[in-house]
Amino acid sequence: MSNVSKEVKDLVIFRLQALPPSIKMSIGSMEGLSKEQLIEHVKDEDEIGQRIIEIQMHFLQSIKTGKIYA
Amino acid sequence: MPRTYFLTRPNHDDATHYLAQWIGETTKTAEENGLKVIELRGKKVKREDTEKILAKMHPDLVVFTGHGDENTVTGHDREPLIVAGKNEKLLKSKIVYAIACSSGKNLGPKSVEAGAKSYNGYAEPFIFFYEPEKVSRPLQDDTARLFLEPAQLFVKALLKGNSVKDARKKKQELLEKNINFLYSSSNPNVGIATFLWTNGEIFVSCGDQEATI
Repeated sequence: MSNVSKEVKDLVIFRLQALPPSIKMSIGSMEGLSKEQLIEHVKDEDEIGQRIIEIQMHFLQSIKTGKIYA
Repeated sequence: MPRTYFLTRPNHDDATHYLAQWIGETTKTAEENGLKVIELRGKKVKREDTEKILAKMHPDLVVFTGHGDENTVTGHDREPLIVAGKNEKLLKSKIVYAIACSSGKNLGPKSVEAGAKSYNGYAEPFIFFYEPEKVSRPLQDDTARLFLEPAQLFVKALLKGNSVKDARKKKQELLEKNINFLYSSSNPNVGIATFLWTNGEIFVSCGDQEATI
């Protein structure tokens, strides 16, 4: 059962969709991940997907609390 | 006796290839500052040779590039080089930087407990973005530069005699400069700023912040 609300997941996917298609992400020992692959990991809520959700939400929370400015 | 810089540069996938190239550049800084450089590259990045160098050559600065987890940094084909609870005592009296995933979480504190002057690394997976068409020329990849140049600068600052604290400050300033660049230039890559910021957040430094090589 998912611990992540649909709203949060949709928000993270929306933010990932803004990434350019021409770059890849290196994370851990995975081969480079395209934007589409990152979105699939988020949809699946696997280990990579959960980490990406954590990163995005922590960043947004830090803007909200004034820790960072964007 | 010259101070010594020991660098591991496995090169078996895109991530290690990029790290090997970007952090490999620091050997020039080491030589310019009178340090002796010892490198293990590619398939030669094995546990046995790493342990021998650490035990017999007593490097002042040790930089691991590659993969890792909370308890481990790895070499060629992810062979564990240093494992918490097994051989972290080999890092005694050294300043260490692991540009690898997550080893700052447990291996870092354990290494300092075992006598390392300072252990610097990441508490979570280290992330960078890159341009696949630049894989054969990583140093010309301006996307990867945003993520890897701050890590490179941290090493260069230590090699130039800065304390861990000052090297951290320089690294963080460059990282923030790169984030500001992404936000201020109508850059299509602005979405990666989130991940660049995260690399600053997950950086951990255990041990003596005034330590120098």
